[in-house]
Amino acid sequence: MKCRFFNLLVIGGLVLAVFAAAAGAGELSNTLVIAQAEYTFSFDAIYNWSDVNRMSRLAYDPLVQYDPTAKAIVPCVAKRWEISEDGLTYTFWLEEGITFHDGSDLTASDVKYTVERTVAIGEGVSRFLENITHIEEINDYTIRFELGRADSSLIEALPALYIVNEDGAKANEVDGDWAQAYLRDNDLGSGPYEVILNLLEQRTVFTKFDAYWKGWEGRNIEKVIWLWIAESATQRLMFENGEVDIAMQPSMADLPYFETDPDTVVHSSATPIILMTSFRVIHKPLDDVRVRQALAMAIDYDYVLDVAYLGYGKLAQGPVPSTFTYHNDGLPLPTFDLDAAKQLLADAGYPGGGFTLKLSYESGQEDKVRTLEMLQETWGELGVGIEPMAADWMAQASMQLDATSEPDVYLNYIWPSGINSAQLLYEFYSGAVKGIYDNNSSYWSDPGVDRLLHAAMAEADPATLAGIVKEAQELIVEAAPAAWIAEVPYVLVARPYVKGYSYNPAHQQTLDVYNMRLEGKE
Amino acid sequence: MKRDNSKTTDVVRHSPPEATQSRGRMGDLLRRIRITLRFNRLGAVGLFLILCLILVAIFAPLIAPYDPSKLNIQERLQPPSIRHLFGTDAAGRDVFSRVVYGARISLRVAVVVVAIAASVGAAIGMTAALCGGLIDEALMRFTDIFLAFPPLILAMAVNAGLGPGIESAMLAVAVTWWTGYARMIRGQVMTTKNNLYVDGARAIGASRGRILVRHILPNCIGPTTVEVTLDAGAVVLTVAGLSFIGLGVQPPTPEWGAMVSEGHGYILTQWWWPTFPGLALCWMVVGLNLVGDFLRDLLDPRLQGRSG
Amino acid sequence: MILRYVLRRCIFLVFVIVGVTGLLFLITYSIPADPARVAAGPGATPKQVENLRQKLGLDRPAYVQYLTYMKNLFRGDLGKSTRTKKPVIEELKSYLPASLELMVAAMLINVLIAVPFGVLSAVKPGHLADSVSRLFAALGMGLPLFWVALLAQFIFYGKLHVLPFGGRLSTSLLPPAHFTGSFIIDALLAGDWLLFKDALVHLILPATVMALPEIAVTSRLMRSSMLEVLGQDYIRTARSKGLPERLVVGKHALRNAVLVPLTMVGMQVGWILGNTLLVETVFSWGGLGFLAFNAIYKLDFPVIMGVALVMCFVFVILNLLVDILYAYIDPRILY
Repeated sequence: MKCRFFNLLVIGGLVLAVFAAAAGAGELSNTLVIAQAEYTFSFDAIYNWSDVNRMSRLAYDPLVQYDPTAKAIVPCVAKRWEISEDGLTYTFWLEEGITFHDGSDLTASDVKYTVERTVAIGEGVSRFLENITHIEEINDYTIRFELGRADSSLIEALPALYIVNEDGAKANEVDGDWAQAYLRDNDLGSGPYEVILNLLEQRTVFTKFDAYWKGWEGRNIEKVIWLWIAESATQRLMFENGEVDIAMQPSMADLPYFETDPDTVVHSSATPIILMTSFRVIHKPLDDVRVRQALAMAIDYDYVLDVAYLGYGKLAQGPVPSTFTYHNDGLPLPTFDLDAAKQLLADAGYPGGGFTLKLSYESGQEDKVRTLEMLQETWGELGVGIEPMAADWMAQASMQLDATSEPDVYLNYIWPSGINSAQLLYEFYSGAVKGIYDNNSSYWSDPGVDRLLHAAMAEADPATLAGIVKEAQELIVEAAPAAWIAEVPYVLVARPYVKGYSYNPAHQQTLDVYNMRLEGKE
Repeated sequence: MKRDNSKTTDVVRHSPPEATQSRGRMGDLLRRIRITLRFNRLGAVGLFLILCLILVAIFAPLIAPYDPSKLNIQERLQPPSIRHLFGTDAAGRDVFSRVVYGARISLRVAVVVVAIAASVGAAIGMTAALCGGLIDEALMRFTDIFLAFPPLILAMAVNAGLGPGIESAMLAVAVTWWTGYARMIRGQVMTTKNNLYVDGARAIGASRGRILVRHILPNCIGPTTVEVTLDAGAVVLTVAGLSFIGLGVQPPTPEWGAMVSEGHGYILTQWWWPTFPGLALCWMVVGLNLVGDFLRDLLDPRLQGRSG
Repeated sequence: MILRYVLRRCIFLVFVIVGVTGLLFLITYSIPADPARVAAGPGATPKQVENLRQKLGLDRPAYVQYLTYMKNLFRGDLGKSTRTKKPVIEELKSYLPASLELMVAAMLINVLIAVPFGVLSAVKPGHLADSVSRLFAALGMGLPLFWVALLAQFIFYGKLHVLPFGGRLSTSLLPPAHFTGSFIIDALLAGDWLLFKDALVHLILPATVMALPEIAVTSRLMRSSMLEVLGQDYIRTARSKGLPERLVVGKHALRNAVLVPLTMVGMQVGWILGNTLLVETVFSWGGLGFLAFNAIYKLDFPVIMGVALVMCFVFVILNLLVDILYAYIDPRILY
């Protein structure tokens, strides 16, 4: 009996070894294989603005597009547009002959449906669209938005509004869910690639959409395979073994290795994402500006850049990223000065600190953990204790929104939802968004800044707008509702034969596969 | 990992406690340990492992060469050397010092969780067995609900509710752990209750309390000790698992599971960071398991008979 | 007799489901996060949150919500995921087969390795084989599973290139037509030999890693149960009759000794299901562990409920089956 068991074991092992040898890879020369950690659970276009869905960009087209080199809005589905003098009417003329993946035509009615759907679900770019009071289909290829008040940021939010197939959505709607359940595994777009397979948490496969309206000349990526690999070590192994062409989130641990590997290109891009510590100004003693400034001075900025971002990041200069138009480059750069910080704290009535702050951070994000460790030491020098509270992004967002939540400090990002400086400041530091968006995690506001920001939102003249936005930045930095630490880099690694990658701040951390090529992949 | 060894730990039910009282207790115990060790040499290994760990925990400040949470940017990710026996992590902290201090945390986790779980389990199991009838039925069905509940999910939910941190992680694990003890102790009391010598004690008019303390409790201590030792290892692993998914301890606490979790992305480049805490975890769990095995053999009269 | 017992256990199942859902409701209410707020998404306005609260019935008293949930449950409706907006039952259908496949494979490996180890250990206590198998058992329980998983992947995929990194199929292959959701069974049904082999190869690493701690438990149980049986009178009789030791151990003792580990199988399946998460993450297995993890992290309460219910259900049913099997093997047991 006993021996029989062992025989079985040996035979089983042999059989499995034969199988293992038999499993091989297929033909992949026109296929782009991408490894990414966080699984995309939906192809719903409304999630595209956040990090929930980094793939919709392949399957959908927006009305207008943002060109990062020209720093300008350029045509896409809308071949041209007109904004009335008073800024209250937007008219778009659409390209003709665009078809969705099911073969139906993209018309003005689809655009109207997309806007209504986004507002009704209330996620993604909906906050930009709430101003739209009326949508008129002038004909199949002309559409007009009427706004309740002028909003200079609307046009810059539109690259994130992906047009959804109205008929397709209505046909797949269940219990008034706007086809959200259907979109878990399917797309409803007109983009260059369509979803053909979605193996939960494992693999998503796109193939090129032959009838794509921009054409396929000079392009050779016919298939895109997205592999969901939670562990960065696994991602690296697969990259090394040649099973993956792009690893989307290499671990910081592996970057020094990749840098020295001749067969790897490390693509590092500046992003408009800013790492910061937001101070809850409604909590004592953070209501005192001197305490906040002291804490900001007790941050070892170089440590964050060197240790958390391995030299890829950049020191932040206020809340507006340096790549944005109207960034104020006259602002003082933050400095690390423990003595001055101690003095400020003493002036505020807290000589030697003596208080503890609850700090909420997103667990599992290495840059934040490294920063937290540093803060525990440097703020500790001031006599300020830290009680860390790990939270998930969603949980942290709901705490940030809630006026009564516990944490005194949030170690979080400015993650701009558009590319507009005024809009960014409005979302993060105006009184109007307190308790409405999670962004104003400081719960800080100032009547002067609010006035400036309201003026900016309605201002059309670039020179005046620049003046207003820069002044607002000065006022906000002086009040120190947060300490802005670093502009976060985005790093991915790719094989040298992957060409045409570029970073677009209007579509954070995504790939524009349509404009990429594979040159000499075997 | 919840382990229920109740099916196998009821081996001492044949030996009433009086039997061991007849001759010098200490001498008898020593003799039994000696015999057991003769055919369970691994038991000695286990005892050694755990003893080392306890000593390390007690003398941690003397053993650890560095402050376990002191950052040192110049010494980041250094490989193991004379200066840093286990190397350093991404914040330049000495991994050896952190592993040494981690012994305190893991031992505390093991003791606290098992103590809570065992006392809650014992109370429920004993009440059920002694009262019998409807109360027994109700309590055991209540236990079954907790037993059927997926432990990691329950622990995660409780931990999420209480907020992350080592205390809530311990409580969360304890909440899922007591069921095994309740079932085991109930079974133990049930069998003892009907034994001849208990009947005898009852016949000569011993009070209920006296029977409980003098006759029933002593018979539960053996299996419970074995169970507790075997369980402690699994408890430490579960808390480490919670830390691994970000729900356990918060930085910079040097908990082993959290260290493995923080360092696991570095396994290909700076292998020492996740590896040494992992080995420490292994050290402790293996030690506890071997000691548990040893205790079981020690308390098993049949094995004594074979060798003695 | 046995029929009555089964009936009683089925009633008990209902009881467990009521208890488990009640417990979960209790936890839901003690968690500080607002489910409506979470369901509405981070960008929602307070008005949208209120609308959703009414739509989901979260504004009603807890007991009303509980009763509604139970009513829907008995109609087979577990609600909708707040994250993906899909019915929970659909989510479970797509995630469960992968986990069941992994679990069955792990249990098979467990039994195949643990039983011989345990027997060997018991036949010669104190012998080298005993020590080795006990050390192996202790290691199996002691090694942190996630760490072993990473290491195994590094060795067999990263260095030796003999096994795939993870996933359930090679990237070049498409899954078979959906019948059961288990790729192995579906590939067999479709008669696709290549696909079957591929799916099986992908199963080796995760299933083995998953089985490790269970092997430790089973082999130890097997050892002590075997020791007990070997001390019984009838074994002594068999020995004194001059039966060869192999026959005594292999035929008489093993059959009786295997009963104890058998009773644990039901329990072990529960643990495996509960522990899938760590292994599934490393091997990108896409099973119930992922669903549970995401649901807990995103506070997706309907899905948490669904997963917990399924796990309890599997646990109770399996234990019922084990009990029946036990009665079949050992007719002395009365219910």
